[in-house]
Amino acid sequence: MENLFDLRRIIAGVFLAWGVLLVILGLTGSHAETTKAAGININLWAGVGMFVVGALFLAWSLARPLFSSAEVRRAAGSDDEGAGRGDDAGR
Amino acid sequence: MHQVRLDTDFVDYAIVATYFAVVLGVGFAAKRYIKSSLDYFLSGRALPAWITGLAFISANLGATEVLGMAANGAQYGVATVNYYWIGAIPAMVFLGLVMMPFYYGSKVRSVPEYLLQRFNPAAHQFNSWTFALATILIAGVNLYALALVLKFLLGWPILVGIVVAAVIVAAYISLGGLSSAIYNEVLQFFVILAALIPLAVVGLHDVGGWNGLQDKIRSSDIGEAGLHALQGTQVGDVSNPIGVSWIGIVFGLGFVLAFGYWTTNFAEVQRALSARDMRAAQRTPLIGAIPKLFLPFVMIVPGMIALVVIPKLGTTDALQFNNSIPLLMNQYLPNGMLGVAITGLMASFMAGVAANVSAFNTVVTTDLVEPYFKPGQDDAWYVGFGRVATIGGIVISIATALIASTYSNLMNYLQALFSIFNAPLFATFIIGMFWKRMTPAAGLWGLVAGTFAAALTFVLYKAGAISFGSDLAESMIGASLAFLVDAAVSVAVTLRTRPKPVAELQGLVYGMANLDGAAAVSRGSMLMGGGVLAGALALTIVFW
Repeated sequence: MENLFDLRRIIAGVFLAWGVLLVILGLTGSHAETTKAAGININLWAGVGMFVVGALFLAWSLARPLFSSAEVRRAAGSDDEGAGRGDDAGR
Repeated sequence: MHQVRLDTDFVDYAIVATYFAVVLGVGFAAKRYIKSSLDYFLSGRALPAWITGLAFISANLGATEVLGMAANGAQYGVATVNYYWIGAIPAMVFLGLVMMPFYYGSKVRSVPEYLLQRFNPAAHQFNSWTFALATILIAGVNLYALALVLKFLLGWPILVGIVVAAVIVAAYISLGGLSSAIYNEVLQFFVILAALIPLAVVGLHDVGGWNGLQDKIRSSDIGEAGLHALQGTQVGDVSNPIGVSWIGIVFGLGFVLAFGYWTTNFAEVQRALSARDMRAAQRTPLIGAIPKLFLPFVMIVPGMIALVVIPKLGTTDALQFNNSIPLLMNQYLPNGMLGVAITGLMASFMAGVAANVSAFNTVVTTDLVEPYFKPGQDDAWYVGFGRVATIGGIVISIATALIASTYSNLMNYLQALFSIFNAPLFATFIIGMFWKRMTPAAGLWGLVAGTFAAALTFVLYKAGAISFGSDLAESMIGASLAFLVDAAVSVAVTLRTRPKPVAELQGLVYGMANLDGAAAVSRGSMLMGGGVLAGALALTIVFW
C-alpha cells in the first residue's frame, strides 16, 4: 500500500499515459500538423520521449521499492513516507 | 488586450484535466501520512535528496522565471545567462556547503527560527512578520501571472483564472501540507521540461539550428551583442544589452541579490530543511544546481527564437516580450503537445504559488502563533491551524494578485520585493553566522534599518522624489543600500551591546556547527559543489 504513494510511480503513470496518447496522436495526425511544427512530427517524438521517461521511473521504483513488506512492518511506528532505499540511485 | 486564443481541442483539455486530478490526488494521499505538526510543516524531515533537490529548483520555476527569462532572452539575448551561471549557481553551492550545517544542524524548522536561536525573540518576530508579508505578495504575483496567461491563451476572464488556480493550490496544500507541495513540485519540474524541451527543439529546427539562430540574431536589432554573456561589460565602456558593467553583474546580481534570494528565502530553504539527514540537506541545493546549469537552453533560447520568428515582437501589447513562450506555442505546437505545453505553464505558476503558501503557513503557525499567541496547545491543534493559515494565505494572495496587476512588468515588481525583504536579511545572516560577537540587539536593529532603507528608497522612487535609470536599477541599488545599512548598523550596535554567551551559540555560528558523522566527511558533496561551479564557469566561457 505504501508503495502506491511512491512519487516515482506517480511520475511514471502520468508520463506513460501522456506518452501513449501523444504517440497515437502523432501516428494518426494530419500532414498540416507536421508542417506547423517545422516539419517535425513533434507529437510522435515528444510522446516517445515522455514514454521513455515514464518507463525509466517505473523501472527504478520496481527495482528499488520504498518498502519491502518486512520494512513496512518494522517501520509501523514511524512516519517516513518519502524515505526509502531507492534514493541513493537517484542521482 | 488583444488575444492569441490557441486552437485547443478536447485532447488538450483532457491532458490539463488529468494533471489537475493527479495534483489533487497527491494532496489526498499525502494527508494520510500526517501524524504530527512536523509531518505537516516539514514532511517529517524524511525526504531523500533527489526529491528535495528537484523541489528546490521547481519552487523557483514560477511564472516570472519561465516567462520572464524567455522575455529577457528575446530582449537581451545570451547575456541573460548571467542570471543562471553567475547569478544563481555560486549562491546555491554556498548554501549547500557553507550555510546548511547551521540551518539543518541547529534543527530549526524555519529561517526565522534560526534568528530566534541566534539572536532574540524581537528579531525573530520582526523577520517572521516581514517574511509572511513578502511570501503573500509573491504568491499574488504568480496567481496574477497565471491568470494573464489563461486569458491570453484560452480567453478566461482574469478573476476566473485567479480563483480556479487559488482553489486548486489551497486544496492540495491544506490537505497534504509540505509533502503535498514538494511531491507536486517534483512532478511539476518534469511537466515543465516536457513542455519546454519540444518547443525549443522545434523552434531551433525551424531557424536552422544554433548556427542559423546566431545568423538571424546578428541581422536583428540587437545584433552581435545579443550573442555574448560578458562582452562589452568593461567599466566605463558598457555596450552589453543589459547595460551593466561586470562589477554590477558580479557584485550586484551574483552576490547581493543572488545570495540574498537563494540563501535566506525560506520558500527555498524549507525544501532543504525537510531532507532526511544532513547529507541530503547539503545536497538539496547542489542537486537543484544541476538542472539550473542547463535551463537556459530551454528558457532563454526560446526567447531568442521568438525574437527572430515572430515579426514585431516587443512592439505591441499582445506581442510583448513576456508572451514569447505562449506565442511560440501558438506558432508551432499541434493539439496534444499543445495541451502538454499549457499544462506545463500552469504547473509552473502553481509551483510558484504553492512554494510561497507552504512557507507562509509554516512561518505563521510555528514562528508567530505557536510561540507568541497560542503557546502550549496540543500538536493536532497546530496542524489544524496550519490548514486554516493555508486557506487564509491563499485568500489574501488573491487580493495581492490585484496589487500585482497594477505593475506592467512583474519581474521588476518581484526584484523590488527581494531588495526590501531579502537583501537586509542576507547581511544579518552572513555577519551573524561568521561573527560570534554579533549581539541580539544588533540582529534586530540591523534588520529594521536595512529593511527600512530599501523600503524608503522604493517609496521615494515611486513618489518621484528620486530617480534611477530603470526599475531594475532601483532594485539593485536599493538592495545594495539595504545590505550596507544593515551591515553598518549591525556592527555599530554590536560594539555597544552585550553579546550572547558563547555556550548558547553551539550549532549556530561558524566553527561551532553540529555535524553528524556523515556530514563531517561529505567529500562527495564537496565534489558535487565543485563540479557544478566548474560547469558554470565552463559554460560562461563558452558563451563569453
